[in-house]
Amino acid sequence: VTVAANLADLVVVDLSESIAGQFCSRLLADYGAEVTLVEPPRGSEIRYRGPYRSGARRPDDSLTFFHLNTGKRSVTLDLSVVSGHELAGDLVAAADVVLLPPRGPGRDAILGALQDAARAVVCGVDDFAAGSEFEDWSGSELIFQALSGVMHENGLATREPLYGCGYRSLYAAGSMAYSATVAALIEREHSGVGQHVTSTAATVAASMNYNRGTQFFYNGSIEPRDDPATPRMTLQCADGWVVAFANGPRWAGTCQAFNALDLLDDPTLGSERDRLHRWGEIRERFQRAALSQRIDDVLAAAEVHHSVVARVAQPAELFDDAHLKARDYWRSVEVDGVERPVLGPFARFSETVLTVNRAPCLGEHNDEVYGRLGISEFERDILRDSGVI
Amino acid sequence: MESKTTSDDFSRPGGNDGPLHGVRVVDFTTAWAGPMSTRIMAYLGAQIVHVEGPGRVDSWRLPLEGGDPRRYPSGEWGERPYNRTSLFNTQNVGKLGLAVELKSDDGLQILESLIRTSDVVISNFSAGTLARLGLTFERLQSLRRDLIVLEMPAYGLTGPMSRHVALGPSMEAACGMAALTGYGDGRPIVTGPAYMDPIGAFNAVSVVLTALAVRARTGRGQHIEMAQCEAAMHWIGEELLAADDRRGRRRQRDVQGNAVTYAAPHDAFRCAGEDQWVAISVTTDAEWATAADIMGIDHSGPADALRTVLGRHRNRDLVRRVVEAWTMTQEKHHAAAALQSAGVLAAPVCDGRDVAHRSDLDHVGFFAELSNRDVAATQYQGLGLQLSRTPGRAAAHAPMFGEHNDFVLREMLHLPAEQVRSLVEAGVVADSPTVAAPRQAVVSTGSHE
Repeated sequence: VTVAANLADLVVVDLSESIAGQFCSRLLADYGAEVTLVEPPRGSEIRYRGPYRSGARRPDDSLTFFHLNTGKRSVTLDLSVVSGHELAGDLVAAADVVLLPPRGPGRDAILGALQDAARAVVCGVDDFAAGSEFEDWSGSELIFQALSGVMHENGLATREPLYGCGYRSLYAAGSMAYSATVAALIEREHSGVGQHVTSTAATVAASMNYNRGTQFFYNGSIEPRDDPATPRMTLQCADGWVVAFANGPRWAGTCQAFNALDLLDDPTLGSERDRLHRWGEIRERFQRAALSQRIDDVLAAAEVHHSVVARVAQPAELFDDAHLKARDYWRSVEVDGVERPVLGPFARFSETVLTVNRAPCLGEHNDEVYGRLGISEFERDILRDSGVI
Repeated sequence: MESKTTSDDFSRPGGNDGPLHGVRVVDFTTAWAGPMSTRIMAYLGAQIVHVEGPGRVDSWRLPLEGGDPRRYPSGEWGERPYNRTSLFNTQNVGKLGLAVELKSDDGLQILESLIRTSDVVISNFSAGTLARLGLTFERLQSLRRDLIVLEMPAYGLTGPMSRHVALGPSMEAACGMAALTGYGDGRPIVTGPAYMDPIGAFNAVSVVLTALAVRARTGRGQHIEMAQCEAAMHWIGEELLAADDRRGRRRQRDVQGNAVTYAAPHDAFRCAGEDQWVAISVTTDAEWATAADIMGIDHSGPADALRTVLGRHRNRDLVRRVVEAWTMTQEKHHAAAALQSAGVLAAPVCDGRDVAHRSDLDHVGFFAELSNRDVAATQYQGLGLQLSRTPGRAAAHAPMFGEHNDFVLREMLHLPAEQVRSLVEAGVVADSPTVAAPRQAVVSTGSHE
């Protein structure tokens, strides 16, 4: 018998109602786990998060929901009522992995139902640490980025700090939740016993700053936004923007890539130490050279000279990007008879095959999943009319 | 079947009783993304051997003679600056350090012996580096049949960009994130020093753990190619899919500072003090009314326009004026706490000092006090995950250069003392670096030095 080289047969129930939790279970689904997303009757909160697909109907038009929930099954369940608690207990009874709902009566009910489920890996994806000063705070991408130490350094010195883009600290929390969960599953192979794992967004986000907490303990120094001592350059070329580095062993190659020969020949910039305090001026001189250069030419020269230059890609351009095309990156799935793009494989495994499927419609698998729990069609109608599913 | 490591090996330096107890990783990485990935695995109990060479020093130890004083304890380089930088020392907590010259046959043999006893090999060098050392996947697999090998080049091992070297910020440009950040003048902004590095680290951990879980089922190892850009694109997946959707309608996303569609205001506002800010996010009209009460905003004048969500979106300058009239009189932590206690999302924009003093981080044991010969006891940043039964921990200070040469060669590889001595004399292993900089350009250093 050949065992599938993925996580097939792993039963996952996701009640998390969060971007972080749904990213965690999306990764599990990619690797073949059977993931059931449990949504409130009106749909997961993430179905009401843009950006939205044009021409599609609510609540199935959120691209955030679509991206996070490909390959899962959807059932509806009201976790605020006793009947919902009871059904949720049945849903999680046989699960290998349970992603908990947010703190509150719903979570307490699930934890109660899981009390004797010794093999289950129970994962909480929280905004703030329980029992901490911020336990009762509300979080969001902006809030976690602000607290993390990253946002303080992001943007121009003369302007307000920027949070970045998208939901990256929430994806980070989801990624950590996935790794903690899989680590617990690996450990279960030896011990036969599961455990509770937690990923806390406000803490995870802080682990991603540039070692600034440690740096403060080292010597009390604080980094300014847009540090003038950084050799990183964002440069405008004739046909767009690039990001480039000219520090260390890359100096000569980067000068050549931008055809900035005056910099290369400047005897006062001969060593890294000479350049250390002059990056502001150096950036301006690179900018003057870059304006007359085309990005493709700079990139071709950068490749030859092993210098670090990359095009600032507009998201839409990535769908026609020659490199990604050569690697056959983009994939598609069929949604309502139309092929829709989805992102390509997270990584390329020599053994493990990734699966990709569309995201479920709201409650699409109610009949299948509740039917399997022994709830008859008549009873499902009762639950539906009572607003439980 | 290859010889398994014995549990005795793991009660010695490196490893702890976390969920990955018993897993050994050969860490062939440098700078941030790779080392952070193995630091996370070390925290989870894996035994990590961080491999450097006398002439191939982890770039986050550089410059050898000492660099930006902000990276060193008390701003002082000391006798061995390469053992004292906060950059290297933060991202290599809990690992063993081996310094071996891989360009020598003896050195390569040591590495291969080590790989025979290991479960995972991780490389974050540019595409093809492992192959150039003769360590193709076929070769590695011949050393250990069920080995897991992760290569994590910026753009992948194939394709026209695969021969380009990269750093965190250039990858952030290439994967679409930089274009989504800016002040609305068309100029892209990359995130802080190098946000793609911790993203790459998290992604690397997730794929290696996946392969370990699969191996537990199948008994088979495998090769993983993780192009850091391609994996990171998932972290803005919804923005990329939306960009494709808008293509048909020839519409681009508006990038306007901190503005988003799901809150207004959603921004940082200046507080009392030099470069002090509070982030505020208002998602409903009712929240705005609450916030306006706290801030003493008078809606009878021009601020009347701000009662509605579109009004707040269309008049961002006015929002800034009326909000900052209050926040500039406030200390940022107090302003955030006042708004949060009324149910309005807010937070201080923390710098390094603020992060160091966050009570919620202290509460979960985020910081660990560690020391070694060259660095006095210091608090090191931790991670954001917790496990109830096998918690893992930050077990030891980052290794000094070549600190565990003897342990690896004598205790793990069982080489006789005489042979170890001659390897040291021949310069195959060393406890101090011999050249100023690595010749090999590397991926994702995120380095500022």
